[in-house]
Amino acid sequence: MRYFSPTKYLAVLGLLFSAPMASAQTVPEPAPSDEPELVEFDTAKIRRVAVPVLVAPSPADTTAGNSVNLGRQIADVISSDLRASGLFEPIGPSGLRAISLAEVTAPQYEYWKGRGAEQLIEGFVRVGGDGNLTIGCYLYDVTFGSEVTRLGFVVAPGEWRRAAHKCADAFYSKVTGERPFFDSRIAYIAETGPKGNRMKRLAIMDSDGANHKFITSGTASALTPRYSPNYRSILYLSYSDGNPRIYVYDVASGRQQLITASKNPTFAPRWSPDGQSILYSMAVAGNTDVYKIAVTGGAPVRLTNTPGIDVGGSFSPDGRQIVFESDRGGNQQIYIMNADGSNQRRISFGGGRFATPEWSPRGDLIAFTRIAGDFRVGTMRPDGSGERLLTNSWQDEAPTWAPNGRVIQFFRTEKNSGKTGIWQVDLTGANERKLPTPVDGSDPAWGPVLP
Amino acid sequence: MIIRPNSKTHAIGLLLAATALVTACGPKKLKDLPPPAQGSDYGDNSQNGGAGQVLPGSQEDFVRTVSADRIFFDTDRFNIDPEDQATLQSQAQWLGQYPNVRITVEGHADERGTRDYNLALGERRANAAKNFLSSLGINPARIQTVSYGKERPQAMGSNEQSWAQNRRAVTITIQ
Amino acid sequence: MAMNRAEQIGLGSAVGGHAFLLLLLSLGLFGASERLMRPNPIAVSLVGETAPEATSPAPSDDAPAPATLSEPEPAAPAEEAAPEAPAPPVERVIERPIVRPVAKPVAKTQLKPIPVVAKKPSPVTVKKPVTKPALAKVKPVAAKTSPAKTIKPPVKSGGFGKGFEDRIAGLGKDSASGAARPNTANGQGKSPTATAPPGKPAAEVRRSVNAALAGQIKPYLEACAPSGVDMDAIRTFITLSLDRNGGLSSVRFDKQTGVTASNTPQADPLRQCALKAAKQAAPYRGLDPEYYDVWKTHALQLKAK
Repeated sequence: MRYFSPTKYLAVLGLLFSAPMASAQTVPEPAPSDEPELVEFDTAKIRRVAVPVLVAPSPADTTAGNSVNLGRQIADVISSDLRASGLFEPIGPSGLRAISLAEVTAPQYEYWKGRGAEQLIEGFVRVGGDGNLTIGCYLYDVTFGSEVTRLGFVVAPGEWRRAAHKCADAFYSKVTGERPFFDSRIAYIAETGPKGNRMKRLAIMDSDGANHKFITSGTASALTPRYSPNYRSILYLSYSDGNPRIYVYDVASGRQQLITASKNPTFAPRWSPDGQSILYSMAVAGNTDVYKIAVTGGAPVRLTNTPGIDVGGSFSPDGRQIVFESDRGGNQQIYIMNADGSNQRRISFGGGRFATPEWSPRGDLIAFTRIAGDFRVGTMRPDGSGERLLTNSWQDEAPTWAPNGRVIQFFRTEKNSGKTGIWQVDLTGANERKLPTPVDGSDPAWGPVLP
Repeated sequence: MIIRPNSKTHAIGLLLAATALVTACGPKKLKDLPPPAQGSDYGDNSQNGGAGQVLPGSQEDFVRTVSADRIFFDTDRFNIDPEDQATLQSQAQWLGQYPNVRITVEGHADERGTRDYNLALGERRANAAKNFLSSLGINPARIQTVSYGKERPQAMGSNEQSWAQNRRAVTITIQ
Repeated sequence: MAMNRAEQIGLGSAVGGHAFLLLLLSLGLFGASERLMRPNPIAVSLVGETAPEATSPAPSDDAPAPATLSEPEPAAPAEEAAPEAPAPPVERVIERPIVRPVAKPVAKTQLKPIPVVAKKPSPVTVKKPVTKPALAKVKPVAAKTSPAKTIKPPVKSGGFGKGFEDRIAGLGKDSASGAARPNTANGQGKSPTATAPPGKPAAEVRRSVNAALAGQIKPYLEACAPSGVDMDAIRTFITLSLDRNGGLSSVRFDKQTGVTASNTPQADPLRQCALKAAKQAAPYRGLDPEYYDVWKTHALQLKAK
C-alpha cells in the first residue's frame, strides 16, 4: 500500500507513548482519517479470453460456405478483433477443443479455468430455411463463473464477418465500458511506387483490414479521404484535373463531383457529425482559410480570415465547435472556434508545432500531430490541458479516431524510403500495431460503427 | 537533358545561352546549395534529348536561358530572398521575350510537414513566386499555380540537404 | 476466551463506548456526504445461518445498502444486448441454441441483433456469493487454526497485552446498547471514565484488516477492472459487512469520485467490478475473530494504479 496517512501514523505514535497521556493532551483527538484506506489495483492486465469454434449444430451449406467452416471463421475473426484491441489475449480457436451445443449455455468454467482463460466466448451458427444465418454469441466470465452477456444475429451468409465483429464488439463493450468499434470501416490512401513518384489510390476496408477495395485507379493522386457518417460517400482530394480539388465520391454509384465550383485549390475535407455540411480549406492567392458548405451545395461560408494558413478542422461531436490548425501566430498551432467561425482561440501551448487536430467522437479529447523534431501523435483536452503523446517514431501523422473514441489510427512514414503504413494505438498508449494492408497505406479515416 | 540548376557547368552553359539569346541577363547567382538530386524533374524539360536544336520559346529554351527554373525556401518560409529575386528576374526576362507563353508555378514542401499544411504551404510558395513575377511586369493571367505539398520530392533523402532542395517553387512553361 | 471476558467488560464499560465513537469516525461512515447518500435505514440482508450476532446492530445498519448481495449481476442481458442497434430486433429470444431459427431475412446491409434474453438465468449465473459465505467452512476458530494467515495488529505483539485487546474487543459491544449515534460523538462526554485512547488501537486493527482484505479482493478486482484513460483518477468507495467467519453479509457501493469526461465509460463497469470482486473474494480469511467488532463492517477505497 502506497497510501500513507499522517493521522494514522500519529495514532501509532500516540499509542506507543503511554495511553493515559492521551486524555490530558490538548492535541486534537487522534481521529483517524475520514477516508477508508486505499486499495490500489492494476488495470494494465491483458485478459485471456478463450474463443472456441462456434458450434454448428446441423451443418449446412450456405453461399458463404458450410456452417461448420463459418463457425471456425467467426471464432477466428472474434479472436483477432479482440487481439487487435490490445486489451485481450485470445486463446483459440486453434488448439481448443470443440464444444458441444449444450456447453454454449452451460459453460464448463472449471475446464476453461484450467486452460488459463479468464473469459470465454461461445456460440453457435445455424442455417435457417431462408438461407440466412442465425448466430448466437455467449460471453462468460470464467473467473467469476458468470455470464457477461449474450447476443444473437440473423445475417445473410455473406455478412458473417459483421456478426463476428458485433459479437466481439459486445464483449469488448461489456468488459471495457467503451462503445463498440470493430464493426466499422476505414477509408485510406493506398500507396505504391518509389518515393519520388508514388501512386496514391483511394481505398476502403473493414476496420480489421478485410473486404479491401481500391476505389480509384491511381492515374491521378488521391489524398486525405473522409468517410461520410452514413458511409454512403467519401470526401477526398484528387489531382484529377491537375489541381488539388475536393471531390465527393458516391460509393454506390461510383460517381464523383466537385464540392465547389471555385477554381481555387481546395483540400483537407471534413464532414460535420450530422453529415449535412462539409468543412474544407481553400487557398486564394496563396492564403488558405477554412470554409464550410452544405452538402446540398449553396454558398460557402468562410470561417477564418487571417493572413496565415488556416487549415483542416474537425467538428466537436455536438457540431457546435471546430478545432483547426493555424500558423497565424508564427507556426502551426491548434485553435478552436465556434461553428460559425466566432471566438477563435489557441489551445495548444506545448513545445513544438501542433497539427492535424481531430476531435474525439466522445468529445473529451483532441488528437493531434506534434512536430518537434519527430512527428508524434498525441491527445489533449479541448481546453489544451492534459497533453499526452501516444507514439514515438520518426514520423507519425494524421490521427483518426475509432468511433468509440478509445482507439486511434494514424500513418507512419519511414525515414528515407518514404514507405508508409497505417498504425493503431489504444488511448492508454498500449498496443501499438500496424494494420495489415495489401500495399503501403496513409491518411486513414475511420467511419462510424455500422448499424 | 537533365537540368541541374546548381551545377557549375550548367551555370556556364546558362551564361552562354543567355548571352546568345537574350540581350541582357539578370545578375547570375552562385548559390551555396546542396548538390543536385539524382533523377530528373518530372517537368517536361528533356524532350529535345540535347540535340542542340533548341526551339525558341520552348521549355528547353526556357531552362537553358534562365538562371534557374526554381527558387528555394527555408523551412516553413515562403519569402522571396535576393537570390530568388535574381532567378525570377531572369525568368521574367525570358517571359518578356515570349509574351504568348504561359507558365505554371509549382509549389512544393519538404516531407517534414503534415500533408494538409504542406499543400497550403506549397500554394503559398507558388503564389509568392507568381506575385514577384507579376511585380516584374508579367501578366498574372499568364501564370497558373499548383501546390504539390510534399507529394513530389525532388531529392529522395530524409536529411537537411534533400529537404532544402524540395522546398521549392518551380516554373514550367505551358507548351 | 478473551472474547467472552471482553464482552463482559465491554458491555459494562463506558470506555468501550467512547472507543466506539472514535471508531465510527475512523470508519468515515458518518461523513456528511455519505449521510446524504443513505437516507433510508434498511436492514442488511444477512444470510440466515450466519447471523447469530444480528441482534447487535452494526454501524452499517444505518445504511440503505443499495448494493447488497442482490446487486444486479452484470449479466442482465435484456436491455444491454442491443445497445447500438437502431433496427428493431427481429426476434425476441434465444434462450438456448435449439431455438427455432429466427425468421425474417435481413436487409442487406443491416445487421439485426436479436437480444438474446435469458428467460431464466442460466444455472451457473445464480448468485453464488450469496450462498457462499460458508459458515460451515470457517468456524470462528478457523482463523486461529491458521495463525500464519491471521493478521494481528502489530501493536498487539508489541506487548500491549490484555488491556489493549479488551479495549478493541469491547468496541463494538457498546453499540448493542444503541448509544452510538454520530451526533453524540462530539457531544457531552458520554464516557467520562475514558482514560485510554481507544481510537488508536482501533485504527491499527483497521489497518491490518485492510491489508488482509485488500490482498484478497485485489486479484478479483484486477480480473474485472476496466482499463482506460484517467482510470487512476477514479476512487470507488465500498463498504463490506462481514460475518464472524469472514463471510460477506453484504457489500454496499458508497460513492465514486474523480469521474472525468475521459473515464466516464469505465466508471460503471468499475463499480460493478468492485461489487463483484468483493463477493467473489469472500469468505475473507486472516481476520482475527477477537476483533470482529472492528472489522464487521469495513470500508474500502479502491483506486487503479
